[in-house]
Amino acid sequence: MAERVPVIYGLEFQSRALTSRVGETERIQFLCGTQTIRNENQIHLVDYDEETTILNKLVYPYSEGEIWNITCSAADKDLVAVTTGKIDKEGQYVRRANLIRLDGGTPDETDVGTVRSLGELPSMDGVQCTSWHPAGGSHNQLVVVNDKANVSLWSVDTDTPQETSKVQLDSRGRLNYSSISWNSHHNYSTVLVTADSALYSWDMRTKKTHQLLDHHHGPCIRDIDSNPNRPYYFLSCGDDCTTQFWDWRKLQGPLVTRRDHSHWVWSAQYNLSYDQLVLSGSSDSQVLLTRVASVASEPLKHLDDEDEPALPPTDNVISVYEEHEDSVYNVKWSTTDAWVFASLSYDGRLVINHVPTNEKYAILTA
Amino acid sequence: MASEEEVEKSVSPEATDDADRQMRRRKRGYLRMYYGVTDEGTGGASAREPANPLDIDSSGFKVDQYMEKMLRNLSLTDLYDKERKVKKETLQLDSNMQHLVYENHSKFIKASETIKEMKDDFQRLEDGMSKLSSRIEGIRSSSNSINEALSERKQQIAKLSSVHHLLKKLQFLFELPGRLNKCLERRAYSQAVNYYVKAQKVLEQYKHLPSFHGIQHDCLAIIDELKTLLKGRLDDQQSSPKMIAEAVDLLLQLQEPPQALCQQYLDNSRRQLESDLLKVETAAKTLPSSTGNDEEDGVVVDAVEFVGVVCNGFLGNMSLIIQSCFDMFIRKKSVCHSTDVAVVSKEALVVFVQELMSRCSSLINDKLTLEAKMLNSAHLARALDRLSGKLHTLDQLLPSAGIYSNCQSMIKMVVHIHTESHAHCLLQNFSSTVTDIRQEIATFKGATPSSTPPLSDHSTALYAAIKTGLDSSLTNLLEFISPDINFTMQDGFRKEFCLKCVRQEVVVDFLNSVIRVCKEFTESSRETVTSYPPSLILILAGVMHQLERSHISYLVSYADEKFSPFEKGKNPATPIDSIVTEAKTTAELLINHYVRMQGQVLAQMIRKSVETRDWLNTIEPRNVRSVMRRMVEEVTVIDKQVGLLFEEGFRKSDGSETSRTFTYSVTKGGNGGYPYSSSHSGLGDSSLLSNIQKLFFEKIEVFGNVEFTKLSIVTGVIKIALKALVECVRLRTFGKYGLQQMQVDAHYLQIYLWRYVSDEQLVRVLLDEVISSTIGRCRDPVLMEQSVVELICENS
Repeated sequence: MAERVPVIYGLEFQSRALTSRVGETERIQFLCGTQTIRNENQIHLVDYDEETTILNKLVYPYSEGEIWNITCSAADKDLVAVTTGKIDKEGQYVRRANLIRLDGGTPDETDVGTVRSLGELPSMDGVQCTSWHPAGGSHNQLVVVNDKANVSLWSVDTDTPQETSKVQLDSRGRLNYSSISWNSHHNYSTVLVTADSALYSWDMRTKKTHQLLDHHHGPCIRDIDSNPNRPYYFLSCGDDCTTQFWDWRKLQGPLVTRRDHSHWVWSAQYNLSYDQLVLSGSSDSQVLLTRVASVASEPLKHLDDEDEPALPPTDNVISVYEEHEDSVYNVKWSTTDAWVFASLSYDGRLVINHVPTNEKYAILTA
Repeated sequence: MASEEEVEKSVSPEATDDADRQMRRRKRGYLRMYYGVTDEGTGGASAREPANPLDIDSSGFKVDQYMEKMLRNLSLTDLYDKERKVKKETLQLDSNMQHLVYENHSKFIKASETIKEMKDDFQRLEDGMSKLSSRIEGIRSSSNSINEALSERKQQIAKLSSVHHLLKKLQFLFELPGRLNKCLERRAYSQAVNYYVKAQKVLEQYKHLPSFHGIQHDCLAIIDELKTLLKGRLDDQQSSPKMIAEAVDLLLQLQEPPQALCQQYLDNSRRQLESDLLKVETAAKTLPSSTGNDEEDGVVVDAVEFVGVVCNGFLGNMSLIIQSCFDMFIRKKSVCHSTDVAVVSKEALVVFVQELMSRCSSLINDKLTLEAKMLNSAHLARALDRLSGKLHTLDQLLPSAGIYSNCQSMIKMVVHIHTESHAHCLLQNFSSTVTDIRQEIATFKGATPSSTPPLSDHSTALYAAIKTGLDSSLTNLLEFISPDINFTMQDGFRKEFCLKCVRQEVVVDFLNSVIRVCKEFTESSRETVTSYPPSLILILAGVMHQLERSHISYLVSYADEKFSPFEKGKNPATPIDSIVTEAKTTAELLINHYVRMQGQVLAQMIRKSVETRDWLNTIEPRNVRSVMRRMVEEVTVIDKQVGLLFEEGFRKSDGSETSRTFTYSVTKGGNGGYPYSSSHSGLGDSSLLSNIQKLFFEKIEVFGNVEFTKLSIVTGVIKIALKALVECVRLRTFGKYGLQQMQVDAHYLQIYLWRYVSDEQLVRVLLDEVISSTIGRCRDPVLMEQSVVELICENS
């Protein structure tokens, strides 16, 4: 079977916001938002047909401002939180979280969709990023962090969001809250927030926050992700060019440190099904697919497996994707197909790629 | 044949010798004929040869034939000559014969006269002989008569003399007790024993006689007293070994059981040795550390002194005891009636020696283990040598106790500990030097802000610490194989010492640990990142680089030279490639770490400056921002520091000209142009330019590996800083003046940084990227006039 060729899609403007359309379960769809300060921004819905490798798009004009971050509700596939930045009437730059509903249309070359705004999250200024409850279902919840270290939990069951809980992180003087993420274990009771070089956890049951890490990634941690299959395990990446793998219970040092990129790592994510696969994007313009088997959850063993246990796969870079020519700020796995992922570079190039066939079969036959 | 004859017959003057010989032979022939002797030689010859009838001398001479032949062969003149010759010869022969006959006749007459004379003499001799025999007969008869007369007296005298002898013996016996007593009084014990031993048998034989019994009784009492006295002497601490030996000898003569004596002897010796052992123990316990503050205890017993104590005291006495034990009990054939006693005594001795030696060994071991850690190889070597020598002699005295083999294993262990402590000390020395340098760097305050700590000095110092440390250790260790140290002369030990102990455990392990220590600096977690000054890392990188390039091989070969004198040219030890490779990787790690650290410092500075400023509402730029000046300063310092330790390296191109004529590629289409647009819409000039530039310029690896040159290192740092600037700019939003400020800053950096990088193009591309990114993030991108930018930069 021939290796799948990457599919490349260009956005008109610079972009850094990318998400898989989590609520969609049938088709491989990604949402990305542009970041231009002088033009009207757009949200692109990109639909990838794996059979035909045809890429369809649907462009939603977005007039609220430039898009820093876009996240998609797991419970309601049309419900999207957009971290929007714009210059207000006083000439100040403001960042807010906008809730929007994508309306109508199927992804098609010509079609243009419409966006119905549900309004901003009230009293949240300087919003840095948002994250939807990953489980979906009845939990249509959203966590938001702003540059004043306020973290709040919003319930968006109706179209009017309700702030149900909030906390102030003890992170004076820190400016970059570049990632917020739900911990998918223990009933999603914990949220992880990065603040410059530090990582905080917010336990929503006890309403307590803890500083987990500090200065492990040089000056800044850029992204974090919890292992979807193995409790307590999470990864982080940042300005020291590394991706590090942690056990929450042993934070003295990382379990594994991967130094594969030659510049800051801006985004990293576990594969949702096969957590030994880790995707990372960096401002060295590279996307790496890495196998980190040493800290992955145990693969399911066949009970009748009498063969010699094969040597455990080593930690390694599986493949390097060099389709980008500018910094890659976002990489995301498809939530529909475990073998497909997208990466977005600053120059507006969206690339959809596949896990190499060999690796895929190696995992499936393991 | 004719010629032969001629020769034979001719008496030519030149053949006189021959003629003489012929003459003599002929005379002899006549004589033989006369006496009827057939000479074998001539007779044989004549018998062999058929008688030649033509030979005038032969017996088978035929006149007729000869004549016939002559007549036939010779001319008339010849015949005349011949005739004359024959006549002459005949005459000569006749006169010869006459002469001979006369001579012999006179000799016969003389001989017969002599025989007659002899006959008369013999007759006279016979008369004398008969007279002599008759007289000897007379002498014999008179001697017999005298003997008969004297025999009776002689027997009497013999009897009397035997009686006298017996009486003398008896008198000796009777006097014995008294003499013994006297001897005891005079302390002449050996004489007493001598007397007693002489009398003992007789007394034993005749003890049934009351008088003898009495004497024996008395003697026994005295001898018992003597025995107790001698035993007392054995037990006496004061008695000298010689006295003891004498006592033991006497006691043995007095039939004391040797085993018991041996045991007693050993028991007594044990006391002596115990006290020696105690001395050894005190010597061993006197630690130099405790003596430092303890005045009355203040004798620092070093290894040599300690071994001196051991050898002179304990071991000396031990060897003396073994020696005398051998002399007294084991080798003495007269004492040991059966070999069993020798064997038993020997066993007892071995057990005795082994027990004490093991105690002593453990003491020595403890002390020397301590001493081995003291790094004074000369002392230790000498001490070990002395000990080994002493024990070797002891071992030869008593091979079955296994003293020497124990000693060898102990020595091996001590040497091992010693080399290990050397390596340990070297490493400590190195670490402390590193710490010192670190502190000096941390507390360094230059005269001017841009002055740097004396990095090259530190680097030299660090290498010197490695080198001199190793050197002194090796010199120290050389003591072990110096010619006057004997115990290392054994080949097995020497080889192991040179290769395993010195080369592997000291040199190689030390270098490995140095590399490991340096490596640890790069494997820093967050605490160490902040606490180690980057210059230290730089120094370490420099030292490591030097080590890799030349010093390791130098040091190792230096050591090999010193410690492999016995196998020239061929070195069976492990190759040093692995250390060199390890040093190389470590050097690379360190230098990359340095670049990363310095780059991160600058990047952090830039990040803070970009993040904290409100770029949207800033005023029109009048100056280069101070952070940029600081950055240039920092880079200058870094450049200076790196320049102290590393070579310049090569530039990719001569950049001076381009830097002067430098303008941003974006200026042309800057106003209102979008540097980035989608692939669907048309590309603006600027983005086209920048993209083309990118196409031709290979991708910049920001945190890539650097080379060991100043340019490469500083370029690495600058790359990290500028790339950080790009990334930070992209996270901000700019107003018109913000953009212009960035423009000014970028230009400033361009004109000051190009000189520090290997490829000026690189700075340019990155700064282009800064400006185009700023334009992308700018609300109303209006670039400043290039001339104004240059003016501001010049003013700054």
